Amino acid sequence: MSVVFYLIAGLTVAGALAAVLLKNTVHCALALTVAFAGLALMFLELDAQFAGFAQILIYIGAVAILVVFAILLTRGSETPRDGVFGRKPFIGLVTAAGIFAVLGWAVLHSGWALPDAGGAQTAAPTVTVMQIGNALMDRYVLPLEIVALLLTAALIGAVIVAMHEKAGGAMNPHLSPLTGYLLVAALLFAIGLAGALTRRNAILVLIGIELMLNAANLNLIAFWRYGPHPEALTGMMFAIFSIAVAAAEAAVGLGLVISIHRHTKTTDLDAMNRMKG
Amino acid sequence: MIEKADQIFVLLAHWLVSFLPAELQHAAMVLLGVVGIIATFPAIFALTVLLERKGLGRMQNRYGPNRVGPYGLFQPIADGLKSLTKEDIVPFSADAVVHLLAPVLLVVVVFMGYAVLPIGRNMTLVNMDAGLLFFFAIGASTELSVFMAGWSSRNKYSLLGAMRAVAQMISYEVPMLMSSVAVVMMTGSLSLNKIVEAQNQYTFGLPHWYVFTPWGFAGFILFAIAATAETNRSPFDLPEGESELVAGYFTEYSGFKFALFFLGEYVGMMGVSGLGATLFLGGYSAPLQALDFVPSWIWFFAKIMLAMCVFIWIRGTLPRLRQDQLMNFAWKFVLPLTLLNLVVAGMWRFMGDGWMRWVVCSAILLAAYVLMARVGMRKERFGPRSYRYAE
Repeated sequence: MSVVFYLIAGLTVAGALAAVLLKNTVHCALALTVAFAGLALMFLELDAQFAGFAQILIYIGAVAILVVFAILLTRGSETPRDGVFGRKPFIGLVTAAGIFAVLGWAVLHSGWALPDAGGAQTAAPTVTVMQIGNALMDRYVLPLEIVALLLTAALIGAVIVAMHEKAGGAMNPHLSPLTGYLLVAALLFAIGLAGALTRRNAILVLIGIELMLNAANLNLIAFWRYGPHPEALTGMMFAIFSIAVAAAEAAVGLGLVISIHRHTKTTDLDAMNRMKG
Repeated sequence: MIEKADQIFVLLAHWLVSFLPAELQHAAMVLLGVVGIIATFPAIFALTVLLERKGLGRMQNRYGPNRVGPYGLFQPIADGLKSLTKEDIVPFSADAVVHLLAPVLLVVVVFMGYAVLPIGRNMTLVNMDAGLLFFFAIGASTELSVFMAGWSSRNKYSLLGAMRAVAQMISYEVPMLMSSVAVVMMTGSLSLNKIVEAQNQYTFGLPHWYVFTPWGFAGFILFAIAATAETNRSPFDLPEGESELVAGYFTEYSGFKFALFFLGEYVGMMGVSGLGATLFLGGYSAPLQALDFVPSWIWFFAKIMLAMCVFIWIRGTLPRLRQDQLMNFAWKFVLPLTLLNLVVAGMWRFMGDGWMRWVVCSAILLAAYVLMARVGMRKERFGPRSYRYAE
């Protein structure tokens, strides 16, 4: 693993942690953009230029802006007096930690079965935008149409892939590049999950969900880069579709939050208990 | 000799680098390019500000700055010194860290856009396969810095200005991207170098610039409108409308931070102009084959300066729009026309050579423009304003 990877990974994880932990909601959103930028750098490091730029364009240019807009429209920038976490943050934290433990264990123990077990650097695949365009219009034209369904498939698929291999054999003493990326993704997923389960502000729950989504994207691109057939573009295509859909998803989600805010004058999830018997 | 003049900066860089050991040469070349960009564009920025103040002055029947140096030529130096020595005031309740980061982020991001612009023949810092996408991705980050500036100032004028700016930039980013997509369709590449090369051909001594085709002309106009709005220039300068918002998102900025915002704004304008020139005006290629002997980089800078003059001219001429007019214009006029322009560009591509495609494409675009303008004018837009979301 190179120094660059550790730097970017540290930046991304720090951004994600800050996005979940900070008190001020706008600071959370700004920290989230740091995490997004770190992820974009990771995509570039994985030779997925197009996906990296799409990440910046859509996540920083659109999703982050949507989030800050939603925060300002719901007056969410005022820090609530009675704490920012929900009533039982402990359960959420334990769940997230448990999931991270399982994911991390799966990644580390399946290291030998992954395509890049030897730790040898495969030659960087050269993918031009032309190839991506042709693939989108040719082989992936149906997915392009039903991209919304693919989002769910990508998220679940990435988690299943990460946990797929059965454990066995000795652990790899040094991290192979793929393992590193998978670990970062697992960590991001756990941080996002912890945020989604513990924060009270609905927008911050959405931020947590975005982080989980991004973790799935990172897995897809990492598997594409170190998988046996990088020329098939499958993983990268999944990630691009997922980025595209995520923008729509964020817009709908934040729209829902704002419309709920119109009715209830709050974004506090603990206060939204009208359906409670 | 002509060849040498064209490549003078490239040769100079190679000569300078040749003193270094081989393994450092590549890094040194990149570094030299970065230094060149960071040195050149602020210098042009100083020139442009002077030009703007003088030009606006003339348009408003006054002299403009004329005290410092001959004809006021040293005014930019005086301005620079003044902003450097001014006290830097951060409001008491402001979020100091974000307040500081906003102008820095803006300047960094704006300069990064130049990495992919072909400034002259062989003068692209990074020849990226997805160069256009990079430019737009980086450009999208400027919205964030504007928001940071407005929000961190804890001032309602700043916040309002920032919200306006962000809404406006998001709205006009869509038509800007869409009008560039037509060029990408025609060239078959996102690489800005390839886009320039595709236009750098001549028939009968006339260039193959995209602006000289019906879809290219319409695309260029739409791009120019969107770029003006994207850079918050008049008549789309609501985010910093003095008469309503003091100075918008940089109301609370003073001294050097304000100068950084000012620099970022102008350098961003030049970057967008450079992109427009690259996409539609043939980038560094000469306007006539007979003028091909002039070095390529001179043409690029000439096109940028021309665009800046148009920016200034428009500022001196048009009144400011209202917020609802601005939004209606983006979503109900510019965006449909860019979408139509995409279709027309596709038709142009597949109709083959001949005069037929000129007639058909021009007719469609003109008819659409006339129709939409008529419909837009007929509606009564001057009734009482309604505020739906301002509770």
